[in-house]
Amino acid sequence: MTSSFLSFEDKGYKDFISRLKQENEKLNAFNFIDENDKSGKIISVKDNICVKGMPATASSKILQGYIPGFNATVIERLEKAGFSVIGKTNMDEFGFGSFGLNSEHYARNPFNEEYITGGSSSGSAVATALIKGHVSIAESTGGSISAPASFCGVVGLTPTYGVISRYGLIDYASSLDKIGFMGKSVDNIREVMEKTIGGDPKDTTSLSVTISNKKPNKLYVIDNLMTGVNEVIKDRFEDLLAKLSAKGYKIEHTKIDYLEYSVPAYYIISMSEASTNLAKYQGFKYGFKVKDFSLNYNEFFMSARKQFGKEAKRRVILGTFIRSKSITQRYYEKALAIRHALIARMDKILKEGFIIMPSMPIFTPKISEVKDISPVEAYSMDMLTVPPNLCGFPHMSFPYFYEKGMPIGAQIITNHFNDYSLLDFLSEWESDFKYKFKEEIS
Amino acid sequence: MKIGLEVHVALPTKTKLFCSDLAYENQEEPNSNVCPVCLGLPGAKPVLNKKALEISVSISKALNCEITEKTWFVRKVYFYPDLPKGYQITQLDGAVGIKGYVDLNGKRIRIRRVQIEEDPARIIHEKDYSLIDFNRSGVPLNEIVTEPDITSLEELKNFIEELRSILYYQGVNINQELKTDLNISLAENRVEIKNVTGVRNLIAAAEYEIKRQTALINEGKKINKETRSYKEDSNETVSSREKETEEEYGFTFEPDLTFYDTTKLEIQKAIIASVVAKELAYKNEYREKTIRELILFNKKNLLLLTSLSKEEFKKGVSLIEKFASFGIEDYSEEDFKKMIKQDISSIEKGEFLRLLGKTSKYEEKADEKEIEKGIIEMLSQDKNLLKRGITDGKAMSFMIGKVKEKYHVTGKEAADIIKKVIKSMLNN
Amino acid sequence: MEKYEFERLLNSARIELDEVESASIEKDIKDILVFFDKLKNISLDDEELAFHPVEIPEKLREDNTENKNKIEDVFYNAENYRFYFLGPKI
Repeated sequence: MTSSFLSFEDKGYKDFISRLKQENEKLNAFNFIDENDKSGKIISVKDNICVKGMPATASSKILQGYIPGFNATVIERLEKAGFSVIGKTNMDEFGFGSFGLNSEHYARNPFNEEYITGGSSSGSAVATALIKGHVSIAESTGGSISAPASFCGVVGLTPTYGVISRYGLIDYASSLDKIGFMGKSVDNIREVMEKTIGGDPKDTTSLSVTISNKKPNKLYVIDNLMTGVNEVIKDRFEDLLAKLSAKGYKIEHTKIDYLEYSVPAYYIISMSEASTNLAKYQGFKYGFKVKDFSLNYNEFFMSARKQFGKEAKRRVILGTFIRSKSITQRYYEKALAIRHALIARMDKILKEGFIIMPSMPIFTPKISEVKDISPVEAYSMDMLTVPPNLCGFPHMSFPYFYEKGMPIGAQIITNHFNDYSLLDFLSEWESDFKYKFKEEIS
Repeated sequence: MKIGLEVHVALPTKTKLFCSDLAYENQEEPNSNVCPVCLGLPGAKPVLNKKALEISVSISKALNCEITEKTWFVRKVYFYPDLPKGYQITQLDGAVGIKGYVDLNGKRIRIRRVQIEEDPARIIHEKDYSLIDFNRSGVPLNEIVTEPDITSLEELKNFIEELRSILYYQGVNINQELKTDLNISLAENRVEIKNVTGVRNLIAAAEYEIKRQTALINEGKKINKETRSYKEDSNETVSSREKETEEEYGFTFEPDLTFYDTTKLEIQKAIIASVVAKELAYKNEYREKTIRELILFNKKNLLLLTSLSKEEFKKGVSLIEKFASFGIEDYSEEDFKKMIKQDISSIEKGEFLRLLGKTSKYEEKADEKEIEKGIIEMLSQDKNLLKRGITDGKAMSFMIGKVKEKYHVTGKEAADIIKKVIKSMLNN
Repeated sequence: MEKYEFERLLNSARIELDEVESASIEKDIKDILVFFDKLKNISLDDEELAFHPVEIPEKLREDNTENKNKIEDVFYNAENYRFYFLGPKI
């Protein structure tokens, strides 16, 4: 399906924005909507990516009021290519969450407001579902693109680690954070991707490499990953495999060692890095201000950091614990070793074919069903999205079925730097798949 | 008695360690050389200064360290208002130099590690708040960590003197600013004196602390394991109320950076020269600027110098200075070898060029009248230049550059004529 | 983790919790550490450590200065006194 971006030339923007604001009242897709006139193709941007002159809060109270004076490199490149940013999308605070609920005014599912959106790029998924021909610039650390894309029925592409510059991205875990895209047409996603990839002198970990599109004809199902998946989801996934098999793909089954350790390993690395990345929030240079400078600096910092939400506090505390001298060896280094072991094992399979799996092990839950589940239960929901994220493999969630009106997504993974093969796969998939959305704003 | 040091020295770069702000110039106004990186704003990322890495390798080598082939950085987390990111980017296991030593007349002081790190901001303490200037945030430092091998005040003085000489040839002047953490133990327990500024204070702090600990021992009292600080006004060390925070630090790999290969750095050549320089002539014989700009970081001159015998080395350095002062840049290895045989100690430019056989190009130097005419023309075209004239350094160096290029005169000659012309034009 | 260890940890992380939050987070943390302890049973001693998911070649910056920020931009988000940032008492 070819589709083009919604774009404005001097007129129509104000009306569009008033319609968008009305929808946003219900769905909380945006933390900020820019009412100044725009011209050109429009995009929205996750609120942890800096856009010059627009608030950047990462949905955290500690960043309330912060307005960066510089653009993230992705934004710099997209503006040069004629794109305009209409606003900043809602998210779990600092990216900490899989459901979208770790935000004061959390986003709601565009198919049914009682349901979660998935997280952490919750608002990007909702905005993409809501706006005609839209692409949202999102970010994934452990599954923050695939999860909400799957629950909101849009495509979410997470590129290879390092392919898109992180300059201007408010860090969660620097060795895992990847800027990526949500959209509902392969052409739009491809256009945005092509404009943003490539090395950046301002980000040491950004890479200048050629991105290939070697599309294999084998699809690997990882049997030991499927054990925790909901039975009905498994059935629907079998149907998908049958469809793909009919399109000429060869379905293979295999197992990967150490996969069961990927979720704890991911949380160990991400919390450890997050606890250092969040050390900069001290309440006087930007964002939330303590104001009472006569407090001793330690009390001052403690008082500022009360602004962190509960999940942020949990992760900072745990990360600090993991980093402390005596236990580094036990957790952190082992997690890095698991990452290394998994990369080697997945790489071997990805040389032969795509890996395919459901994006999430459950149907979209109602907000009330997951609001109070324990952290360990919540973290376990990331079992499918974590492996490619931990190992930096490019992956994509795409909608393939609607169960009682709610979308279900599947996730395919390819080898490092073969990102465009995912878009070629999507192109093929879109040739006889029809996306469904309640209604679109234009 | 055991004394160990952690010496912090600032590296002679133009810009900061991880961003392109000036490290030392134009610092009068607070927060005038800052950017998202050294302010620690969310979203900013560090990119390592190549020259800082080269100098660090060179310093490590001069301190006889093993050079870590793939050097890497860590985050050291602690909370203090001068630390914008809440962590300092520094080194530990991946430090650029490890296991070095400095020999003092037969006594060897071992160097545990030379690590690259960023300086925190400057902080002014006021009664009810603090004032912070991030100009210093991100200035490149080396922390030189010794083993506790120093066993007397005399040895401490000798070590600092030796370190001063070694670092001098790396373009580091420890007289300007030196920050040291000092460990002294006369008995079982180790006392740490943090943040002593300057060489004089370092010696004074050690002297005081040795006396203090000796007195306690003589009285049969116990020495507490503690952190103290040195008070310059009263010349004493006092117990810091600060808790031991070392345990809290918790280092992690710095994931915004990567591993850096020290084997392919151009500095490998600088190392050779710095070692030659060190061996040949120790104390303050060469100008700092010569060492830094003309030798250590000028690949061509380095190569020329390293081809010389020890006897010729000193003359080679003056020859390089002569080339520079006469504005000759395109000399070849043959030119250099030819001139090293000449007596150039008090040679004039004309004679130098004649010996070099390059009169044609450089002595096309027009006579003064012609140069004056050119300058008058330049100044008439740009009245602004005339107005800013000699009081504005920028305008002056712009004009000098133009005149040098056009008439093949030295900078000083150009400056003299320009000043003369401006004066006469303003007087008319 | 003992109570005093948890208190010390909060202090290191500069996080202050009220009583209710403290009780629930302390319990969460114990559960999460049990979840992490899964890793104890595997031996990966010979495995290399992947600090990044892909190899990151070195990137160095030449020692050149670039255009500076305007002073208004520097203080856009903060309070200042004579171009110093105002910070807490030491």
